[in-house]
Amino acid sequence: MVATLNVYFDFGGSDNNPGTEQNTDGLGPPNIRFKTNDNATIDTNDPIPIPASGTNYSYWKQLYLYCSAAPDTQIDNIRFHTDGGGFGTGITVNVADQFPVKNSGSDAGYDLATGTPGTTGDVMTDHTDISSVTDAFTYTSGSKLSGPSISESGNIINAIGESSNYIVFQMAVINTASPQDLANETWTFTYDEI
Amino acid sequence: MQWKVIYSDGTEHHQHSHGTKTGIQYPEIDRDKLAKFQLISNGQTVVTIDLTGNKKLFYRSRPALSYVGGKWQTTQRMYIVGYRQKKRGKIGGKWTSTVVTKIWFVFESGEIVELDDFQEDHPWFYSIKFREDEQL
Repeated sequence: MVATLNVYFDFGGSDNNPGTEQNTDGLGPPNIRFKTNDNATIDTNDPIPIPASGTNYSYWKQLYLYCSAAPDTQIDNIRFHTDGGGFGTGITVNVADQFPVKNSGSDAGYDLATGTPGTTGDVMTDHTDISSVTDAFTYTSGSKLSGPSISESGNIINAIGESSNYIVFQMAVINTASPQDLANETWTFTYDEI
Repeated sequence: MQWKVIYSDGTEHHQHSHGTKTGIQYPEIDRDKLAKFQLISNGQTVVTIDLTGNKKLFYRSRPALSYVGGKWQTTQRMYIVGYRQKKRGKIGGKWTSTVVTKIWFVFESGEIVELDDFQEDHPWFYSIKFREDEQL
């Protein structure tokens, strides 16, 4: 049977204990919005102010792939890519180089997104399990990010309720950005299935 | 797309069907008896691979999941089937072991690309993670 994977977003709650596990399918379009607050609501509240200097950040977003229909045998080798276009001058979306633990038995990699609502989120390297980041738009179809990894048994997904580890994103804005409601970007996950 | 295996004794086994509860799962393939592997689309054989001579079969489907039309959905799916085979031969008077790889990438459009190795910088032709039963 062909598997079904949904893209989920964990938010709220506390470290290692997300308050909401949100299927992003029903939210949009767009289904993910970078903002200076920790929720899944698609609205124009809590935008990221353009700073006079330095960098303002969105709250980080901890996404993962959740299995809602199981494969015959397994899913592995998940990869992520963008179209390489980006959101324009002064705006970057970073993706963490590490994949904090998320699986059917553990939320150990979950760190509550923090910051000052309406002003800036805390930088993503404040996350306990993240030490470095990369511009997400450097990952394209011919140069995919290998991940998010899988920490389920055998490092594969083979049952309903299993998931990938977290893949964590954050938008960063500097003073060269222009005020705007950004156009939507489409991101893609590929994976191997048997 | 479905697969079918043909064993050296001529018996055939189709990919497990949840509807009819028949067939076998990929891990249930008896690799000691494996002679041919076929990919079948709408009743027509798309690819047949000869697997005699200690060739180690591998197979995957590779979907792409994008957010389109208000939901995440599979926008494209391709199929990977191939084998690896260890061969021994003399190079410069010394016995050497080499690995021969053959891969067929099958798109739903009907296009088939045959390669001698994976291509890590290609949108579709990058490597799989080999299972224990696919190891040489």
